Amino acid sequence: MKLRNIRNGTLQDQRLRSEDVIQRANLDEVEMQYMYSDSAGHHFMDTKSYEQISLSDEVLGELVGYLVPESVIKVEFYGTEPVGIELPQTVDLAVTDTAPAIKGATASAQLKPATLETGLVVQVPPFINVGDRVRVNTETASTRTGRRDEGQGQGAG
Amino acid sequence: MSSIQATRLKKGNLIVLDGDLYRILDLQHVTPGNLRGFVA
Repeated sequence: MKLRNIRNGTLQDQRLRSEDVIQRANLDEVEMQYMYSDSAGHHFMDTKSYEQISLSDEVLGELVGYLVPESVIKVEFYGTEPVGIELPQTVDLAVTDTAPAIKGATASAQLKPATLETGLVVQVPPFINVGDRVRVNTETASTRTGRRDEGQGQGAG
Repeated sequence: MSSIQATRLKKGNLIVLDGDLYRILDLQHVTPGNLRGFVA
């Protein structure tokens, strides 16, 4: 299995026997609001105590692309150390750059890349324009939500 | 601290190995017909 060291971000491959017993880390989840990012890290504020913490790129990894300022997410703590975040299933993000929509494009499932407000690049259906908001699945980085949400215009993707 | 069998680990779990914290990015439980099973 592939493992990532939470503290220094290094990757490691490990093989275990089926009968091995592994220690699971017990985590506490705290609701926090994402504020901003700078060179020191990504800053979050506890919604109850207003205490502020910062998380490094190593801890967040690719999840940085789903963070919108003021969004409330869950931060996982191992003891007093923040080790990760839990995102909602989907996040709505605005498209900041994509190729223009093609008139008379076929209804087939052709996708084009789109850059979102957080810098994340996802594949979107051809009718999506700059300024549109798309609902992105935070686990798969796709705009397919699996069901036709009201007003999302995502069903045809 | 809770213990868990290796076969019951899941992607996204946080585990402790040698005192260090690791997040599982990918894992597969392999059970070859002629060998002992393992988690790779």
